[in-house]
Amino acid sequence: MERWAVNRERKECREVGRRVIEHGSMEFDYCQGTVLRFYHSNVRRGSGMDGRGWREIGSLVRRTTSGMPTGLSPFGLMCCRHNSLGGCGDCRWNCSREASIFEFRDDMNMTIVLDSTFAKPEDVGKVLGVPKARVKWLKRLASSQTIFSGKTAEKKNGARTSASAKKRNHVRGKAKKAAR
Amino acid sequence: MAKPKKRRDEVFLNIPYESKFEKLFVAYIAGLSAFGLVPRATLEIPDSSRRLEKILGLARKCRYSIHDLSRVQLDPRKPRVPRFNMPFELGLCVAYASQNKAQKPNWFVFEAEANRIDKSLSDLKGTDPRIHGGTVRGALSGPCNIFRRPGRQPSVPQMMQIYRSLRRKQPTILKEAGTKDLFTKRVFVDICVAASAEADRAVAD
Repeated sequence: MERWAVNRERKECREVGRRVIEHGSMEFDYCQGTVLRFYHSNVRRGSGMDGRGWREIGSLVRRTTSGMPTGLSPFGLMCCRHNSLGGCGDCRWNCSREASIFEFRDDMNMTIVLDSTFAKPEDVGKVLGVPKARVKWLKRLASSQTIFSGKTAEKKNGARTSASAKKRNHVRGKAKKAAR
Repeated sequence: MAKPKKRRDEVFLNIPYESKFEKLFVAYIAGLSAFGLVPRATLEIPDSSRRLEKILGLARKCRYSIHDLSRVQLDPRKPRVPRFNMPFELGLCVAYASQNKAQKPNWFVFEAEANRIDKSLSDLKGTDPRIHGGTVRGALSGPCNIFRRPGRQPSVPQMMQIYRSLRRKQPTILKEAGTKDLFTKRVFVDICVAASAEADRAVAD
């Protein structure tokens, strides 16, 4: 293999290692017992990488990448779920080449990785049996910076400004007057 | 190709319905909504016969359950008795989870004080409860330690933002419901929807 290709490969290896280490340090709580799996083309299942904490993985990755055989691509990563090399279309676990180096596991049942969809207000309303009009009103209420009063709520369109906003406007008016 | 069916996780919220617990009640709703989960509670069940069956049905429907066992004190009013509802419902959930061998344990216990549960519910020895210390921030950081959503992971400050917004809007919701009590079905449902709307805005992709 050409020297430039070897260098490039080593650089890529380092990049993978850095991503593992960074991501691990950011996302994984060693004390909580959260573990991750790292699959590499030259690190197969049962090779001792399973179930290790990110610190260990970090050191292993460093070791692996420094002594990486030149013929292996650092992106020969396994899709942990579907056992296929590289990206996997079916998998929701970010199996694209960019981020397919991890699989989150909750072996210790300490952290649960949610695989459901993020519930929107409409979904919550549907589950809890809230009429659509009311969901709309609550969404408007949640997004408003003003305080709805009982009286103005009857008028439907009205929204009374909050006391702080009133005070702000008052002060602004006074400042304008003083400037004049 | 048919679209994969959307699935939403529901969380059974087993907490004491007391005025002293209002802040934590809103905090739990804010925390769960920040994770895109749907809070469910026995408040939804109308007071009628066969209440127990309905509670069981609700607990079965929910994928996860959160049990706050921090109220172990005696009620100051007569008759001076502690509330047994929370431990009882925890027992139901534990029994249901143990029946389903395929399902992983999905119930979580919260307490205000460390080591107190060893005395109040010693059968749970070996299960570490999450200690919230009776604070809002503690109740919000609890779900953070339990759940993780790839791509849309909320932070505690974001949860606090949702919580504060809910507390600001609480008088309006109560007024609309024509009650001063937070622990009613209508108010609970409204708070959940408002929390979800706020979470959708606050927790970015």
